[in-house]
Amino acid sequence: MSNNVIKKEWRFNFDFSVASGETYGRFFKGLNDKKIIGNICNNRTFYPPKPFCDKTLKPPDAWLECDGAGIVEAFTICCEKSNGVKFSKTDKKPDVPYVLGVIKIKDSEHCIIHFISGFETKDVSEIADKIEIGMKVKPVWATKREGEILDIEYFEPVI
Amino acid sequence: MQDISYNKRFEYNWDVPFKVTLGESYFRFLDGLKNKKILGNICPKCNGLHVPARPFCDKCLVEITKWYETSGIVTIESFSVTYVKFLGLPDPPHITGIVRAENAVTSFLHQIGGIPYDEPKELDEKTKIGMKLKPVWAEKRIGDIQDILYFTPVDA
Repeated sequence: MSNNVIKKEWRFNFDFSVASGETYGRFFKGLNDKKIIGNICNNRTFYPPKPFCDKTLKPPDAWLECDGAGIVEAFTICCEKSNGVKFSKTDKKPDVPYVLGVIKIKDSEHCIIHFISGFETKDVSEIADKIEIGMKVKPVWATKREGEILDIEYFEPVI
Repeated sequence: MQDISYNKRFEYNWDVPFKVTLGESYFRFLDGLKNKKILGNICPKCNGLHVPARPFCDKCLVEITKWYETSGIVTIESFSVTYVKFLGLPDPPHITGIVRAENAVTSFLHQIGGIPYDEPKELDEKTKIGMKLKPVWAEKRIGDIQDILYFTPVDA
C-alpha cells in the first residue's frame, strides 16, 4: 500500500516586524556608534535597557553606556543549517557550525542572545573545548553599521 | 513622555516550511474526503471509533484495520470565535471548533460556518456546545482536510 502514502507540504510565513520605541531605539542607535546603551534603577543595571524596571515598575533612573564586554551564561553549538530563520534584511543563513550564546553584559540583571565566534576553527569538538560558561567575551563590530543587532557581528573571547 | 525620535521599525520574518508524510490511514481518510465521505476506523480491542482514522489505537496500542463510513454529522465539543485576522485562517469573524463524529473516542479541529448573525459578537451566543453540524464540501476536492470548507448547523 506504499502507493497510498502521500506527502503534504505547506508553510507559515510569520511577520515579526516591530517598532523599537524609545528605549530599544536608543540601544540600536548606540550600536551604530559602537556603544552599548543600558539603564539603571536602584543599583540594578540593564543591558540592553528596559522601558521600565521589573521591580519598581517605574521608568529607570538613568541611561548607562559601556563597551559591551560580558560573560557567557549559556551557549549552544548549532550544527544544522536553519530552514526558515535568516539574518534580517538578507537571504543569508548562518553557516554551520555556529555558536549561540546567552551573554551577560557587564553587571546586567538580564542577558542578550548573540553569536559567539572567533575560534579560528570549524571543528565542533575544538569549538566545544574553547568555550565555557563564565568565559569573558567582547563585541566585534561590523564595519558597516545600520543601527541594528547585527551591528555587532558576534562576540569573541577576551584573551 | 517617550522621545519618538529614537523610534525605528525592524522588518523581520520567519518563513517556516512544513512537510509531513501521511502514511496509509491518514491518506485513506483524506482520500475519502474527495468522495464526500468522512471515514473512521474501529479498534478491534476496545471497539472505539476513531475519526479521523488512525493507524493504531492510542489506548490499546493495537493496529486499527476495520474501516467505518460515518454519516458526516458531527457535534460541537468546544469552540472559539475569532475576531482578528490570523495567517492561514479565514477572514474574521470565524469559528474554530473541536467536533466529534457520532460516538467517536476522538475529536478533531475544523471551521464552523453558516451561522447567521447581524453583529459578529452574536456568534458567541449563537454557537452552542452540543450543536449538530454537517459538512459543507468544496466544489473541487483534492484529498485535503480543507475539502470540507466548514461544518454548518444541520437545520440551517
